[in-house]
Order: sequence, then C-alpha cells, then structure tokens
Amino acid sequence: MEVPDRLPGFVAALVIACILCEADAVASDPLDSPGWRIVAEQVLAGAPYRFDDRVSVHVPAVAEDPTRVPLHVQVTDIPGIQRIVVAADLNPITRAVTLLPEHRLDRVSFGTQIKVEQATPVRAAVLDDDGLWHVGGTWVSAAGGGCSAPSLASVDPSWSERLGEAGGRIFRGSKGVPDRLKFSVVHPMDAGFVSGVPRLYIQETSIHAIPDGKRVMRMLTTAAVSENPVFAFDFTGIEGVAIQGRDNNGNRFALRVAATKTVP
Amino acid sequence: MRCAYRWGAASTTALLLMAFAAVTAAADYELLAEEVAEGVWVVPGTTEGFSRDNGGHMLNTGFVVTDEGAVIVDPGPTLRYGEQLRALAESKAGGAIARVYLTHHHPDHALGALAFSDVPVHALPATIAALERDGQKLLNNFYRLLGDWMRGTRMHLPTQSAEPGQVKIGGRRLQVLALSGHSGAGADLAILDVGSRVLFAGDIVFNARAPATPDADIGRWLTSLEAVAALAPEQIVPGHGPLAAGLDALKATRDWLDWLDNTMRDGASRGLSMGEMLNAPIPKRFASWGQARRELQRSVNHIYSSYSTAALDWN
Repeated sequence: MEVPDRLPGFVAALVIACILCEADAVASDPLDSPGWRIVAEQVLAGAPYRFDDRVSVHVPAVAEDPTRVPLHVQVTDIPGIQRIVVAADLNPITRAVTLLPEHRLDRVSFGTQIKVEQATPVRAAVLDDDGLWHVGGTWVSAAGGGCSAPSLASVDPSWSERLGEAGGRIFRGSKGVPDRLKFSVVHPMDAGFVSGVPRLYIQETSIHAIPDGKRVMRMLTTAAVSENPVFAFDFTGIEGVAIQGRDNNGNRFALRVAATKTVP
Repeated sequence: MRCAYRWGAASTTALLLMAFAAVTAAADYELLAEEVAEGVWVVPGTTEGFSRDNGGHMLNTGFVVTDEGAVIVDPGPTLRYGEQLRALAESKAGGAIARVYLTHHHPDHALGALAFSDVPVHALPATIAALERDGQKLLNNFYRLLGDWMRGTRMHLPTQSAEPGQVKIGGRRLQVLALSGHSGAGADLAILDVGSRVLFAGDIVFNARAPATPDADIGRWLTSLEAVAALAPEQIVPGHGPLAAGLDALKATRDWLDWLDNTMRDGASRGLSMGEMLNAPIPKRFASWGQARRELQRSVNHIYSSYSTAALDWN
C-alpha cells in the first residue's frame, strides 16, 4: 500500500506549505513584490505603514518607453500629509521623488515621468502627522533598460547649451478644480550607469510663492526621474511661483511662473 | 497560490507535456486567403495587438496574382509567417513569386522578408533606411514579445528601392504610392491594383482597430489620407482590421486621428500630466475598436510631450 507509506511526508509537506502561506499572508503586499521589504526598510525608514486605497498611482500597464514612464499620483482625504515619496521597488535607484510641502495637505495630485530598469511595482507613499505611511501602487510591465540607457543629451555634443532651460505655466482651474502648476527643465538626468557618462541629475528644487516669497514646497529628485523632467502639481490660492533648483554638480536653474487668467 | 507548487512531480510533468503540445500546435498560423477581386487575395488578420497567442498574426497581408507569379504585399511578422504566406500565394499563382513589397518598416509587416530572400523585395528608400537603423532593435523586441514564433527569423533588408508610379508586372498594372505620417516621411507605401481598384493601404488605414503611432506625424498622416481618398479606391485593405468598401475605413482612421490630436491639445491646455492622459475618456464610437485604450496609452508616450512642451512658457 503506497498511500499510507507516503502519508507522513505528505502531511509534513502540507503543514510546511500552510506555514509558508500563513507567513506570506502576514507580510501581505497587495502587489506581491520581492522588493517591497527593501522599500519599507530603506525608503520608508522602517516606519509603520499601511496599504491604503486612498493613494492611487496611474501608470500604463505596459511601459512603451522604459526611459519615460508616465506616472500620476492621486491622494484623497488623508489629513496631515507632510511628505510624499514615489519609488519603484525593482529599480537600481529605488526612490525617484520626495515632495516636502511646507503646509500639511489632505490631498495630492502629482505627475511626472520616471525610468524603469525592468517590470516593477511603482509606489506612492504619503506620511501623515502621526508618522504613519499610507502606501498605494501598481505594477508596470516593461522591456527594461530604462535606467541604464544613455540619455539623449549624452550623445549630443551641444547638450550643455540648453542645460537648465526651464518652462512652466499655472493653469487656472475652473469651478472647483484646483489650479495646476506644470514645469519642465532641460536636463540629462544621467544615472551614471553608462560608461564614461557621470551621474548628473537634479537633486533639489524649491517652489516659493509670489509675491510673499514664502516657500511652498521642496522637491528632492534622483536620476530615476526621466531626462528633461516634467512635473505637474495641483495648487490652490497662489498668484505665481518662483522655482529654483540645483543638480548634483551645483548647476542651478530658476524660473518664474505667473498665473494666466483663464484656461483657453 | 504558492501552495500549488507542492503538488507532485507527475502532475508537473503532465502540465509541461501539455504546454509543450500547445506550443507545438501553435506553430501553424493557419493562414487563409480570400479573393476580394479577380486575382487579388487578402490574408486577413484581426484587430488585436501582437502577442504570444497570435504569433504576430494580426495584420492584413495579401497578394496579387500575375502571369509572372504573385506580388506579395507585406511578408508579415516572422520567418514562419512568411513561409506559410509564400506557400499560400504559390498555391494560387502557379508556384511562382514575382516580387514582394513592404508597406513600411514596422516589425509585424516586415520581419517575415527572410522567407523571400530569393526574390526581389521592394520598399521605399525611407523604409530601407529605417530598417537599417532600427531593424535589429525591432527584431530583438519581437523575439521578446513573440518567443518561439520568431524561431529562425533574421533581418532581411529589401533589395530594391520602390518608386512611386505605375508598374506593369505579368500583365497587371499596379500603382505604387509613397505616403507619409504613420511610419515617417515618405516611409509609407500603399499599392493599388489599377484594374480592380483594390488598395492595399498599409498602416495608413486602420479599421475598427485603433491606429498605432510610434513614428507618427498626425498632420502628414491626414494629408496622406486625402491623397488616398483622391484615388477613389473601390475597396481598401487596411493594415489592421476588416476590409471595407469605398472610403469607410479611411474615414474611421481620420476620425480617430482628429480625436487624438484634439484630446492631446485639450489635455496640454489644461496642464494635465502624461499620467493623467493615460485615462482620457474614449468616445463611445471607438469603444468597440480593438486596442483602443492600449493605443491611446502608447500614443500618450509617443506624442503628448510635444503638445505639453508647447503649452508652457519657456525662459
């Protein structure tokens, strides 16, 4: 009789299987990502977190261009937001953007483009006043190589002539729609993964209100943000902004954006 | 799900055998040709995107039978497809292939050319340049996307530069058009069988399937559609989607391109991010089209930056 002979081993295997499944359920990341633990430890600094449907990340299901993956973060109804982080679990540079608003927010609408080196979860995490991270995210599928691809600037001998050129605009929202600030900077955002092309990326950007000059927000970026980055934010009650930034080599850029009257 | 891994080796082996059988069976594209006018055959595809399920068989190809043999319009996505298309064309055309035309350089249309390495392969100069520049990249990407369907497929560059105008082959008159907008400047070939007025439009025309825009210039594309309309074809074989009488498919393509252009411009004028544009509403009239959301999302990546950049004030 074969079955009884094998039964003890089979039971043992079932027990082990169930223990493993149970362990899985405890650490349950809704995206079932092998990189989540590292994001939680390093990007969220081991602070407590919860997965939260109020934080949503919009990316395409498949990255058409791994050097430029569109991404929009939407956060609604979380009081006391003091920090927003965008990260991709399986990227060699995990954290892409940190937003540090000067005033506590209860909603966020933020868009940019990032590079992905392979298929990866893309996360947004917002830190509230109680020190709890609220995490949302989704998978993006990709052919890969976005972080290690040479920038267009790195093969263009005249790249430095336009370095730091910036454009922006405030788009006035109509009836209940917040104003939208969008700006873009000409910058290679080189990750340093291409031989002979050193790391060169915008590290820090500050946004100040016009006319009072008070800082509204700081933004920290890494080379996981796409070349010639574009940033879009919702704002309310601002007449205009002065934007200043610098890269890791000390190159600076500056831009003043006045609100236009109406949306055409 | 992980618990499932603990089932016995016997069932794993059975599953592997079943999977192997499925892959082996899938090796056949099961191509069928429909005669849409005397001696004019279309090998219809679908309105899907390319995948490991369809092996890249989603485009329309075809051939025109002449006294010198078949004139092939697009060898398809893989060597295997090209071989099966060739066998089909030879069976209808007395065993000979006169020549091959590539409508453009995109891999689903062009990579099967190796199956015709002993006959002249004609393409527009801009198409040949694009294949010389991007061919290897397109080939690698198709190996990744299609897997085993691609076995043996290598780059086979066109051997002849196609020129616009009429050509007479084996007693049949064909008119070659050099168009622009889908694949680059002067990189979209369309071919009219003058006798039957059947037009093989390449990817200048899509029908019931959202147009793809990786190399698109919408303004040029719309101009090309006007040029095609002026030919007054009786039937149009679109690059993707069902054959249509008259200009119906052309009008559908124009409708999508106009909508896409307006949607991008509107999004840029409201300061929307690329990520927000991914979710732009798709009108009801396109809801039943194949790949509508997917192609919109690809188009956001391909073309939205230029609209967005132009809507900002630069220092």
